[in-house]
Amino acid sequence: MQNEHNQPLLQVTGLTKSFKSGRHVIAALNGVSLILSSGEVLGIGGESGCGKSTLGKVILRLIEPSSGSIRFEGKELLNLSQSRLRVERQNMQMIFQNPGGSFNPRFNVKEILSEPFIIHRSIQEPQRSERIKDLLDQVGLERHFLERYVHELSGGQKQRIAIARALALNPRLIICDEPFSALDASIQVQIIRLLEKLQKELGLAYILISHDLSAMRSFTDRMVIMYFGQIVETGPSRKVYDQPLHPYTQALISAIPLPNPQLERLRKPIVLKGEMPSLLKASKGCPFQGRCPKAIQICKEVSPALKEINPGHFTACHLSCGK
Amino acid sequence: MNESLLNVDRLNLFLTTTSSQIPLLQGVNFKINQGEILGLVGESGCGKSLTAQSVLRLLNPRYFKITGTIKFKGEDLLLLSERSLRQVRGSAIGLMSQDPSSALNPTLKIRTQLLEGFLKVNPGSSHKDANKVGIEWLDRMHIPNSLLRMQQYPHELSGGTKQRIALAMALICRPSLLLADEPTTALDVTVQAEILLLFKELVKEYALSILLITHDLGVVANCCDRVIVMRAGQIVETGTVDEIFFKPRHPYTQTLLQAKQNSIQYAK
Amino acid sequence: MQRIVPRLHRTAWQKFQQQPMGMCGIYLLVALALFVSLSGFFSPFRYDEIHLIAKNHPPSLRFWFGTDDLGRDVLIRTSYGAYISLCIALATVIIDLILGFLIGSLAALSGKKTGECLMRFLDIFYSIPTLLIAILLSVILGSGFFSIVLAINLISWITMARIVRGQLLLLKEMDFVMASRSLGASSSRILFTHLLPNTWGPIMLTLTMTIPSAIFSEAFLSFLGLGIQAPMASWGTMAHEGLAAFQYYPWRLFFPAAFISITMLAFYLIGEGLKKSFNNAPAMNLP
Repeated sequence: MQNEHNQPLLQVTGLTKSFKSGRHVIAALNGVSLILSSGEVLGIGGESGCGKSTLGKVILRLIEPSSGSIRFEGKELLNLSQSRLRVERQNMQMIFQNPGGSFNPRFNVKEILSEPFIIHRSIQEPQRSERIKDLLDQVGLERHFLERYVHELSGGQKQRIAIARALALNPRLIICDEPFSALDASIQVQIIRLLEKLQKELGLAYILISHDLSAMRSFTDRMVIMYFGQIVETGPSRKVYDQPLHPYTQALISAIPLPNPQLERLRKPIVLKGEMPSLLKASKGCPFQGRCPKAIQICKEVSPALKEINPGHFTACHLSCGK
Repeated sequence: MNESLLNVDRLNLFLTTTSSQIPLLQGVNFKINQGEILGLVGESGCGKSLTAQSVLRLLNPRYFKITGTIKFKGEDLLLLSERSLRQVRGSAIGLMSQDPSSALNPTLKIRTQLLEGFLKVNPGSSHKDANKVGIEWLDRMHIPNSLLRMQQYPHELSGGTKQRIALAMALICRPSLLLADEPTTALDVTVQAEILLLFKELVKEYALSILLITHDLGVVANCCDRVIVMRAGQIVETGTVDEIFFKPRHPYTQTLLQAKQNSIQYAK
Repeated sequence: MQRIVPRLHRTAWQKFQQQPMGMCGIYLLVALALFVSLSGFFSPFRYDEIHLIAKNHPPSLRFWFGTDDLGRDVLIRTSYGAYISLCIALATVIIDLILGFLIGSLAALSGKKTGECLMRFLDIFYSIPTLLIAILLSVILGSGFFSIVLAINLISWITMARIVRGQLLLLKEMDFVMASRSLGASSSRILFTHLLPNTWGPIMLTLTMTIPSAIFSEAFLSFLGLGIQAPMASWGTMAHEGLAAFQYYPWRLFFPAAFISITMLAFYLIGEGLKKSFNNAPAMNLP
């Protein structure tokens, strides 16, 4: 899957983002690095407050990072001027968490899908209408949807329009921020299938941000687990899900209820103490040590770095080294 | 105990407009026994929340018409006066909603809200005793720093803590039945796991019964004893949790299970 | 596979038409406008025409609304007062839209600190009482229509500026603005295509409050003797004169007061209708 000979599609190094809130500083991202190859699907998982949504927006420079580097196809995005950046945006698109909210409520579908072309003045009429109709076909919607307004669409339909809009400019990468959280399970399956189909047809790479790890397991090639603004584990999806190394990942996966009552009766989820600490208090040592059931002395003092434990499978934990 | 705690029979719910009556629930029948967790599962819009709201008659009678019987401990709730109904709500049947923020008044301290129901049911108790009971309940919900929490306001708390407090508020008057409407949908999965564990502990400790409304089949498999599947205002299948998951009879149930398994594709 | 769902979309105007209150308000305003134009066309009298033999006559076939103490026809004077009030309404709209909208937009889009400073500046202005300004202006510019319009609107546009700023700040953070940016939209495109069109709703709603407020302010100031002077007939001056004679010739106060009330009611009803027709949509759909 990973083509290590070619240059990676996206290379993020040491990304940090701090927000000022009154006198306090919130470290939403704390040194995040990742690599995405062309045509690969990367999943970013974690619970609320871990920074995954912020990461998605920072990669597209919708939020400016405090420091770090973002290289897309070799180009350093942070060096681009606003006008160059706008041109570059055609290559990387985003699907937002609340599909209805990402559309101008006054627009109908035709206007929503025309917008990318109007902005970049790329295709004029009549080719533009043709292209828009093709986009609708690609996402499996019928032509009559062009006249509809946002509030007349169901959740699944809205998500399809969001995908169609993201495809309009032929991007190489689409970042999906919680694309399934508002959808029923059956619609979720349809959307995953659509994304898979588009990936095969168009050679797209995805970054899939979700708190639903089970849905990510089969769809993504690699997974990244975030906690408190940092990456705590990363590796091939099946490995991370089936043999998690980091205690947080283990707790997260054990907490996911499976639709099998016999299994559920036998399983006992790992219960974590307390809650994720407030992002205002960054302490030394591992960010997870306050809640970790396996924390030892060194965890309180030294922040662990990401180490490769098995081929391609990294984790940031003092306990998994030297075993 | 053979007699069921809640017995809903031929429940029909209509939305009355100037020109017509739109059926929202049709022929809903189910029973909840003491000490059991009944799961009510279905996709969005199938009428699960409306069912819970109908049991407590929380829907505006100007727009909603209910027919049928809802027997709680033998008494038909639909025949009770508003005054008697208020006695039932909170002290006999508790309600827990999806959004913890909606259950909590942002301008009042936790202490005030938590003890409000308790003091209504036990008007004679002193504030000191009530306070003690409140703190006990917070501890039972595994909320750390319960003393501190009592003095805090809702906006200072995380979603998981707020939901646990909402649960404490629902249970502080020791109801025999809890209606939990999508209680964990808005929460992180680790917090959800704890709350589901809490539900199971509470059922054992207090012989509590729970009507657990959810769209997540994983949640159902985790803690329900019996399950009702709803679709478009009607119940399509009822059974024990094992029956529903391993021997589903209705095609819609099979579709739901298939969709869930497709989206997971977990290794057995 | 997909059900054909019947169209639910209605423009705000269609929704507005279903509101009995809002349509009532519109009809009242239309009636008022008709009253002004028809009486202007067909009345045999001018607003300042004196009939000394017919002083203080009650309403009759000749003088439908009666006469005042100089024998002037109350009906045509009321109509003239309506005309003045409508002019004031127009002036308010123009000043609100130009000053209020521009400054409000500036405050919202120019970065946090600049915006805050601007708003505090406006707050200081806002706290100056309109009455004081009216008196000062009438001293400087002399009394009259112009100085009154200036006095009223010099401060009232600040309300519009606040509303516009508030709405823009809200809209700026919404997902669809970020989505537009992610497509590569420039700031000006976002402003004109996404932000401003979604501001019309609150703007219109605010106008239904600032216009009657301006009309009433004029009436009040004229009533006090500032601003519009005799023989010009504004509802305020008529009420001023009518109050003194109220015990004996009540029609002289009744008609201007009734018209003030009806006009304010009309705008209030339109505002209610607007609120209801915007409430259903998450933001403001306009035709």
